[in-house]
Amino acid sequence: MEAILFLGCNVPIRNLNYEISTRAISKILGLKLLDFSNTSCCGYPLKNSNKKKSLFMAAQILAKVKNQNLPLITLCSACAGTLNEARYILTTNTKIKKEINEKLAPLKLKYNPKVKVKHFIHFLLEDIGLRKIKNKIIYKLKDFYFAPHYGCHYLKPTTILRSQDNPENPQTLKNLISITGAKSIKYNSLNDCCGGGLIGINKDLALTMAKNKLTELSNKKVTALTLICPFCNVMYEGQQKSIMKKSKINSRVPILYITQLLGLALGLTPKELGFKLNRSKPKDLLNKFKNKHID
Amino acid sequence: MISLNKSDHNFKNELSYKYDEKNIKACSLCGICNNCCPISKQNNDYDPRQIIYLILLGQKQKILSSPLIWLCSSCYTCQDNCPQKVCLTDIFIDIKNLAFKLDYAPSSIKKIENFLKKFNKILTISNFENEKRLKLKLPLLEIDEID
Repeated sequence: MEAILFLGCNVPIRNLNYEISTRAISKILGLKLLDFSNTSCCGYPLKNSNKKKSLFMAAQILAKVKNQNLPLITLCSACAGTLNEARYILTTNTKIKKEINEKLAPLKLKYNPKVKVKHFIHFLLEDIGLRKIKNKIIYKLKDFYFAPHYGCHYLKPTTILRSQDNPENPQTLKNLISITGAKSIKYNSLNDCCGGGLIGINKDLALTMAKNKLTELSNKKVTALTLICPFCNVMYEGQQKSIMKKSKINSRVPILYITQLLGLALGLTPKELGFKLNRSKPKDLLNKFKNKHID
Repeated sequence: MISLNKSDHNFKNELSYKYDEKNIKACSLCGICNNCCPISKQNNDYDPRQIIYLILLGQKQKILSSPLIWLCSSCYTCQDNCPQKVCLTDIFIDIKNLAFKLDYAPSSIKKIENFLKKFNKILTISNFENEKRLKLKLPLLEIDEID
């Protein structure tokens, strides 16, 4: 099985553990990842100021996909949301499509409606399937408790993403966590927005939004908060120290990417999954895997 | 204080980006948007229903100059929950785009716009990033030219 990997601009610079663990588990699952030629932005940060420019950036990426039969995979939920939205607009609105194609023409590009965009987690669920992943699991992570965080743009808007999840009661990450033998915990702030979209506009408000989840989880029995988006990571891992200090909370919440969690269950070592780069490490989990793979 | 004399009744029609769904005029002001909005929960001054109401009243200037419109995190929760299928998040993006043109945007938004114009991305790649990637056996990336 093959797919094209679009890294976007955040993951290949600031979230290398996400990239490393994605590449590592893909290999085990028999998925060949072909790298998208460049690391330009998907257009998401421009939506607030100029949605037409944002759409044009997204359209350029879609038009640059060489093998249109393969799905374009993203690791960032904002990339998945923006590229899928662009695809939706360009497929349903012929006037905008014509305008965009006129702008793409001098770059010798043309939008092709065949390109499919998927978040890597959606690809795991829909194209590889839970059963195949489960069959490859070597180590059961029983006795560990993970809190899934879905984030906004993995689930919404439903009219465009058409994901199998109900945003009010999402299940897909829970299912992925459960096949490893670990427990996916229920918690009140499950559906909270991380606040990442506001960090540059109103930092206090953004930090308050992330704080609620971190505060709740710091009082629960949880091995790690499990993420699927680098912007959520900016809030929950990158800003965690200052949030906890401000809130006078002494404990911390370990953070990992779901690809790292799956990787351990699939038999990869913490080193092969880039755990060295996690700033808030799930120490209990890593201790269990310290002495594995010696033989 | 809302002055209806200063209303621009065409304002609601300027916000045209509706994906063929029911548009803003279908809003029944039920307030579900405000109830489910994660920003409203943290900041009482932020009220998506109020913004929609002001648009329907044609209060263009009042809305575009308000710093509150920039607090929407574009999470799409209100849009997903609206029983009248009003595309609230998309409308709020339209409003921010109009406000940006009139120079009401916070400085961080302008900075992002300028940076993206120059580099086509918000984070650039130099030798430093590639050295790090090399150590981790990750494929090297094209280096961005920075003056």
